[in-house]
Parts: sequence; C-alpha cells; structure tokens
Amino acid sequence: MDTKETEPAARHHHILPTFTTVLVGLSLLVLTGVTILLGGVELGRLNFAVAVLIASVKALLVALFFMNLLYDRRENSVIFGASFLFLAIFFVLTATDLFFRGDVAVKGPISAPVPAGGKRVAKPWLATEALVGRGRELFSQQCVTCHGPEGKGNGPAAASLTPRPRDFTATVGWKNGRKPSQILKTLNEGIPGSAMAAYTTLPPDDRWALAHFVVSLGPAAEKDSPEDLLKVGVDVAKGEAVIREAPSIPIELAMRRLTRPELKARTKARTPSPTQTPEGARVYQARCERCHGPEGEGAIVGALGGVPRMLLRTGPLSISKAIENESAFSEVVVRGLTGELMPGAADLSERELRGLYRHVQELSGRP
Amino acid sequence: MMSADVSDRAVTAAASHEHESPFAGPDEAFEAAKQGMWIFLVTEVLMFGGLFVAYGIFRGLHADMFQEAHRYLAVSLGGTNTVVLILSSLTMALGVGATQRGQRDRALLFFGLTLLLASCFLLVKYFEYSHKFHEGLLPGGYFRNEHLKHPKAPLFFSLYFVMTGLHLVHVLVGMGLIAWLLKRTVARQFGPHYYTPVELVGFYWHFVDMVWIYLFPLLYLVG
Amino acid sequence: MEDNYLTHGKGLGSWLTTRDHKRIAVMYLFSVLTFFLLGGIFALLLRLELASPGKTIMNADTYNKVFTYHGAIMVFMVIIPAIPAVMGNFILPLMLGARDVAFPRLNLASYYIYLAGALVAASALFLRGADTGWTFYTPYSIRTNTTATIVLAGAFIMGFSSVLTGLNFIVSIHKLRAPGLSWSRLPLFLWSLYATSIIQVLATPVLAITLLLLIFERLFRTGIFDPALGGDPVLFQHFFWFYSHPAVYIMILPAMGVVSEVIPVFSRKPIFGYKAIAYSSFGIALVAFLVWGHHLFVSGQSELANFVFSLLTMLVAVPTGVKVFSWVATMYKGKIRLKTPMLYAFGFLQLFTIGGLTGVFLATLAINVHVTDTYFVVAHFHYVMVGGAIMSLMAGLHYWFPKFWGRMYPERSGRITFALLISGFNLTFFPQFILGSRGMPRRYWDYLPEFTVLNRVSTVGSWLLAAGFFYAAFYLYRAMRHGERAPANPWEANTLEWQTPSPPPHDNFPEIPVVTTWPYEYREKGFFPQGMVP
Repeated sequence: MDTKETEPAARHHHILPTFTTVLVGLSLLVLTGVTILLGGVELGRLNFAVAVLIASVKALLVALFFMNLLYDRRENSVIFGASFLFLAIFFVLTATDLFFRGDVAVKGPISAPVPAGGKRVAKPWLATEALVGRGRELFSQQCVTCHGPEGKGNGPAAASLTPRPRDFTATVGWKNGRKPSQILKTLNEGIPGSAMAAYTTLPPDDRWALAHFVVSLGPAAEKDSPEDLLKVGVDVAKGEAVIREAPSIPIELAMRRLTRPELKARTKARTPSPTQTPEGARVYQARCERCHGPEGEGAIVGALGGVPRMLLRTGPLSISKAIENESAFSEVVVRGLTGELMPGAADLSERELRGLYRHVQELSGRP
Repeated sequence: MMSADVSDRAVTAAASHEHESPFAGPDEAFEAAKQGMWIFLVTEVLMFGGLFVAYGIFRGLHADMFQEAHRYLAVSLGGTNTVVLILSSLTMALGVGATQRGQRDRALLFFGLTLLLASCFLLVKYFEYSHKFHEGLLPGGYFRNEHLKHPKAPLFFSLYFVMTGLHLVHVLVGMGLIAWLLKRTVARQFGPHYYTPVELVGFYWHFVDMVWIYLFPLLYLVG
Repeated sequence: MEDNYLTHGKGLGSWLTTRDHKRIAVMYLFSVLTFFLLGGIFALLLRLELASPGKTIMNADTYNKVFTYHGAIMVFMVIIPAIPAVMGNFILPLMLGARDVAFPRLNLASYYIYLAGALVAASALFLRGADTGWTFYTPYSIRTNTTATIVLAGAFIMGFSSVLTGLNFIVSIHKLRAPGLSWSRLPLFLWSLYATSIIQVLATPVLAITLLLLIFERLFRTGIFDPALGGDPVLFQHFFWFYSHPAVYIMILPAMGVVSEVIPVFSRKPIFGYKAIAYSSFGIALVAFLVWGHHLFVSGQSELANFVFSLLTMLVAVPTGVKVFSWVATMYKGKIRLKTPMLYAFGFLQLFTIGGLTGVFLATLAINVHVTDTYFVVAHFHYVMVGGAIMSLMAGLHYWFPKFWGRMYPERSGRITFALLISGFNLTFFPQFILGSRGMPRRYWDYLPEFTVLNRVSTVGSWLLAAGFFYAAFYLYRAMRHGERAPANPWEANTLEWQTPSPPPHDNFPEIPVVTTWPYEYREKGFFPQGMVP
C-alpha cells in the first residue's frame, strides 16, 4: 500500500496510505455524531464518562494515525503519553483539596451555644478556680498571638497592629472597662476599629472563663454589680443568663448578597455640588466619603486600589435612608456600628457632629 | 568496542565540520526535529491541561450550575465546528501525504482546503461569540444575562471564553503556519526528500483538533 | 591562542546572530550576572531596612515592592536559567561529544525570549511596580493598583525560554551522543540536566497558564480565583505551586550535577554510586511533581490534602539523601585537592544539608503551622537556593573557567571569596532560623524590638556576601582578560569537554571523539579521559 518508489531508504519515514487517512477521518466524523446523539440521551452521571471516553478514542485515532505514532519510534509515544500522566497528577492531588474541604456551607448562625463537652457551667459569672484554669487554656490558644503570654499586649502579631492590643496588666485604656462583665462584652462584640474580633464562635461559658482569667492577669478589678450583670443578660435574682449574640447571617446568604448587581461599582468621578454646610461637608469628605460615597450613595473606593468591593451584613452603604434624629445619628457616628465596618469617630466635636448631621440631611434630601 | 546502545549517529572518519547542523545527516535531523515537536506538544498538553483542571474542579463543585449554564451554548454551532475541524485535520493529513509522495498540486489543494475549513471555524466562532456578547453571557464580573440566575454561572462563561479563546489563538497561529507551508510549497521547497516543516505543522494542526475534540463535549454537551 | 569560539567571527553582529552554543552561554552568563546584581541590590536594601525596627530607609509600601522585585528577579531571571542556560549550554554539547545542541537557532531564540521577558518585567520598575510578592497570591494580586500585569507578562514570556532550552537539551541528549557514549557512560552533570529539562518541559506550561489566567483576572474579571466573583483563591495557589515547586528542583538538580562532577575530580576517586545518583535525579524529578501542596498547609486546604502532601514531601528527602551520602562516600579515602571548585562543593554540602533538613521540619504539619510565613521559611529556602544553587554556580564558574576563557583564575582570590561567602551566608541566614522560630513573620516591614539584634547580625552578614560577590566579579573579570593561560585539561579530568583545547574551537572538536570508558575512572596515579583514541 505504501508508495515507496520516491522515498529515500530511511527507517521511520512511514507514509500513511490515503485510504487509511480517509477512513480515520470518516471514523472521527461518525464518532462525533455518536457523541452528539448520546449527549441528548439522559444517562445521569454516565453522560460525562461516555463523552470523555468517546473523545479519548477520537484523540487516540488522531494521534496514532494522523500523527503517525502507531508507526513511529516508541520513544515519541512515551514522551507524549507522559504529559497526560502528569496532568492527571495535577488534577487528582488538587482534587484532594478542593473536593474534600468539608461542609463550608454553614446553614445557620455560626456561634456555638453549648461548649464542646456538652456540659454548661451553672453560674459562669462567678469566678472559680476551674473557670480561671479553663480561661488560661483558652488564652494560650486564642489570645497570646496578639496579647502576649503575660497579657502585656506584646504578642508577635502586635507589631503590626494599630491600635495595639490591650495590656491586661495596666489599669488604663480599657474601652469597655475591667470588670468581668465588661470584658465579656468586649468578647461578645469585639472592638470596632481595631483588630479585636467578636469571639462569638466560643461558647458563652468559655467567654466567661476568658474574662475571669484576663481579670486575674492585672491588678484587682472591681466586681460586677447586679446591674452590670443585667447588661450582659444575666439575671442574678433568677440565676440564669440570656445569651444575646450580635446579629449574624449565614455565609451562604452573605455570598449571595455579594454578587447582587446593585453592588457593582459606582466610581464615576463627580464634581462636588454646592453645599449649605461647608463645615459638615468638610468633615464628611475627610471621614465619611471614602465609604459612603460623595453623595451618600454608597461605595468603597481608594483603600482597596480603586476596585470597589463591599463586605456587608445588610444592605448597601447608603445614607440616603432616613436618619431619624440627631442624637441617634451622633450615637452611630461616635460609637460606630458593632460588627459592621463602620468605625467610631469619638474625636469629633459637638459642632462637627452637628454640621455633619446637617450635611447628611442635605445629602439624603437630594434627588 | 562500542556498546550496543549507541545513538543513531553514524560514524564518519571525516566528520562534518559544518556548524549549520550538528547532525550527521538529514534523516537524523528529521528524527530530532520530530521529537522536538512532540516535546513541544507535551508543553501544550500541560498548558491547556491546566484549563481542563480548572474546568474539572469547578464542574465537580458546581455540577448543577454547569448543567444549567451549558444549555446556553449552541450545540449546533459547536457541532458544526467539530465537523469542520475534523475535516480540516483530514485535509491536512492528505496534504502531508501528498507532499511526502511528491504530489505538489495535490498538496496545494489540500493545504488550501485546510485553510478554508479553518476560516469556517473562525466564522462560526464569530457568530457564537457575538451572540454571547449580545446575551450578556460574559466572563465573571461582566456577566449580564437575566435568565441564567445561578450565582456561579459567570464562572462557567469565564472558563468557556478562556478555553475557547486560547484555542482560537492556536487556530490563528496554525492558519499562519499553513499559509507559510503553502508559500513554500509553491516555491517547490518540499518533496519526498524533505518535508520536515510540513509534517511538524501537521502535528500542530492535529493537536489543535485534539483539543477541540475534548472541548466540544465538555463545554457543549455535558449533562 | 589559536582560533577558538571567542575569536571566530568578530564584531557585535557576529555575537548577536550566533548559533554557537558557547557564545549563547556567554551571553546568558552576562545577562544572568547583571540581573543577579540587580536582585542583590534589592536584597541589600531589604536588609538595610530591617536593620532597625520601624522605618529605616523606606516606607512599608516600598518595602513590599522591593521584596517582590528581589524574589521575582532572583527566581525567574537568575536561578532558573543560571546553571542550565550558562553551564548547560556551554558544556552539554562538549560533554556529549557533539558540535552543538540539537536546535542551535532555537537556542538563540531561547536567549532572546529570556531577554525580552526580563526587560518587559523590569520595565515595571519604572512604572508602578508590583507589591504582591513573587508568588502573586490572589485576591490581592487581582486588586493591587500596581503594574503587576506587566511583571506577570514578563514572567510569562520568560517561561518559553525555559521550555525551549529544556526541549533542546532532551533532544540533544537523545540524539547527539558521540559514538560509544552509552547511557551508562553519561556524565552525571548530563543526567542532572536531563532530569531538569524534563521538569522544565512539564511544569513551566502550567505557570504560563496560571500567569495568563491571573492577567485575565485583572483585565477581564474572569473570577476563577476571585472569591468576590465565586472563584477560589486557594485554587490559584495550587496552580502556582504546581510549577513553582518543581521549579526549585530545576534550580537544584543542575547544581547537584556540578557537584557530582567536581567531587570525583578533586578527590581523584571514582564517584560512589553512579547509578544511584543518576536514578535519584529522576526520583527527585518525579517526586517534585507530587508535593506542591506543602506550600498550602495553612491556606485553608482540606485536611486530607494536608496529610497527603506532608507524606509525599517526606519522600523527596530519600533520593536527596542518596546523593549526599554518595558524595561523601566518594571523598572517603580520596586524595583531596582543595582547589576553589572543591571548596564550593564543600560549601554546598554544608549549606544544602542544613537547608534540606529544615525542609523536612517544614514538611511536618505540626511544625509548619507554627513557622509558616515566618523567617524560618525564608532561611530554609535561602539555604537551599543560595547555599545550594549559587554555591554550585560558583563551583561551576571556577571549575569550567579555564574551559570558557582559556585562562586560569587566581587561586588565592578564589579562597578569599569563598571565605567571605561561606561566612557571610551563614551569618546572614542562620539567625533567620532563630528569628522565625521565635515568631518573626516574613514579608513584614517592621518587627518587635526584641528581634533587633539578630536582624542586625543578619544585615552585617549580607554585607559580607556582597563583598564576596563584588570581589569575585572583579577578579574573575580580570582573569578572563589577563589570567594565566590554561591548558586543555588543567584539572586532569575525564569528561569530554577537557579533551579539546581551552577555549574550544568554534565547532568543538577537530574530530568527533569515540568514547570508550565511563567518566569517573580516577586512580591515585592516573586518570582515563573518555575520548581517548584507543
């Protein structure tokens, strides 16, 4: 079948006969038709395997005949085949990660009301040796990185944090106070504007344990009064605690919100409109515009390199929503919003706050 | 004195002093060029393969989304392109064979047909892509379609565009190479005595076909 | 000197259009050394900044850019090409008894692609640079406002050079061995280049697609690696490290090959475990592809993957240990000549052993969790990459110096430099093991005051290293121009490159040699060159 009359006498110059060439071409077309037909048939999970199988047969035909591997040195087949082996390694080992992550689709609130062991402490607001010991254990796992082994605020990660982690051996600077209930509040809510997170993933008993341990690190603190305990949901008279957690939403919901079209960037530069409240406008521009947008329409620009992204828990950051009254507004501005990205601005003066409120009203009144 | 597993090179007393080719003769040069081409194709397997790995991972994680999203691809157009490419591989193989047999006119015909079929591929792809743009079925952050609501659907189209796009670039390069073969065939530079570039470009083109052979069912038909 | 490859064809044009593998090697040499200087300057700047806590000479954003440049330049422009493209290009055809590599024009193209990619990446220095670290992790690398895209494009282009060089070497070794040069007579340097080339061909394309995908993320928001668009940032890490882990073996295997050549010659003893060393190169090349997940232990990877990758990573110590053991056994009862190449081989053994052992510590999950992303890791990889690959590069530069230039370097200068480098290196990087295990994070512009002393020691060490390298550049350049003339085989070595004049003629051999022995036949009173005419 080979037309050898014009070819030189060398070993591996096999010429594929025309008949074979056309036959292989026709087979490929037939197999293509089969693939398409089977694609319409519902075979469940087999559909994928069948499609890949037929494709592989076609690929083999192309390689063995059109690319002459059947008649060529074994070396070249080994070389080509090896590539698929390494590709398989890439896929399989990557899959051991991506397909085995475990259930990351959390369906409900993240916090764990009951400790891992199942048993709850009767009155965790009362310090006991066992509780302090448990607190020491948790502290060494959860807190040492920032707060340091003696709680001096000098952990390895502290160097990069502003504000720096609290020095538990000092008596000044505590945002919420040094009483156990106040430390519990810090653990429940975190400290907005700092790296101190809300530790709602720890059971409440563990949080009390930590609070008692932290108290033990410094000089003697005041004890909790019944009013203090009431603030964190403990009714001493009844001897029970109501757990009030910071609001949280399931991760799935958060991820769905993130992909909503209305969260896309609105980064058009705008020339500032004339304002009746220049002082408020000045404060707004310096402190609020970055997140709330120049017209209060909501955006985060600049800090993240010009690509707007939002990490939200509720709706878009728009203060075009009604601002009820001035004192509520000031409260939000000064304290920030717990668990949100809104930091507190405790340094604003009364005058600045008033100006800001008027400016915000003006913005929300705009069409 | 020479051991049995000596390489292909012939021993000549007056060894070649030419720096042009380090090989003893044209056959050795051809074998080496062929092997070089196979190694190059290995790199192409791994490069496209990376995209198939990404495909496999996302398909495994979001099978339902792939089911839904793939329906927005036109099987008729994809199937047409598959037929077109397979035919072009056939004409390419026939062109290579004609060159090897010294049939210059036939070779020109088949190379020309291959280019024509490749152009058909481009045309179909043009229709496909413009339809996608029109429907807002775009990658990732640019996805705009109202009907396909699955939140991960944009990822399918990211994969679709990157995989078919990279393949398209390879088709374009292949067309350039085949046109170059045409030009050199017209200039009578190939024949049974020498057809290395023809064979190697043929390998490249068959590989491009191979990639599409996998792309078509995995993107258009998976269900 | 009679007509040789340096004098054959005069003028810049003859160099820029050359197909001579030796001239291409020399062009690579000067490019690689230039980038080594650039990357080294960035390193010195980093160490200056770290000499004191807080801001010393630059602010944090600049620091991020400087360590990105240092890493990207050293990895892509220096260590990956260094030994294969410089020594491999020059020596491989000579050791094969061939006139050139299989595809000389492709070889020249490789060089220009490398240069083009390097220049593209370097151009970013004049724009907004890049501050992602050389690892380009997402999502920051998608968001960053710097000109990271340009650096990515440059690295993408350079990858093709690596691939084509590997392709060239594989085909050369398959098809161009001299008559009589069977597989069991192949020098170990060639075995190592063969294994390296296989890795280059298989791994680099995955880097190409990874960088391309990242460029698409930035330009077209494809979202495959972007969590905000439904993608997975850890998937990027899998893609990136599938190449970058085998890449480190691209760096070290040729280095080990050089050591395998130097030690028998300077011990006047046959290599111990020739087959074991040859096979271990392939063992390393294979396992190289199985372990990349050890860079992802704390990324959020699944427990199963952590377990699998930790186990597989332990395996790579085995073929590596085989080599180290064989080298030491070669030296046992040998007649050691402590010339500069041998000094660097010793340096390699010391530094690479420490680096390799600490790699085993890092492979252990429980330890890794504590020291990952600390200076422990930084010390580990500098020990293997600089202590391993660069020491070996120095060994090779001195060993093959007479062959490249037909002149000898001054031995005393070689020893002084070695002393500077070995002490400077240990002084720079050993304290970093301690810093890391005590918790100092890497890629941080600032650190806690208690880390100051060790950081200062490390900075002083970097000055010793700089002094050593600058002095080496000086005396090597001078010896290249005016050194004492060298004979064809000053080291009395067996491999084929020494059976031709120094420097070699344009087409390598007057007559293609016929090989009759394996390369490591050394006796106390004699040696047996491979290409001896019987």
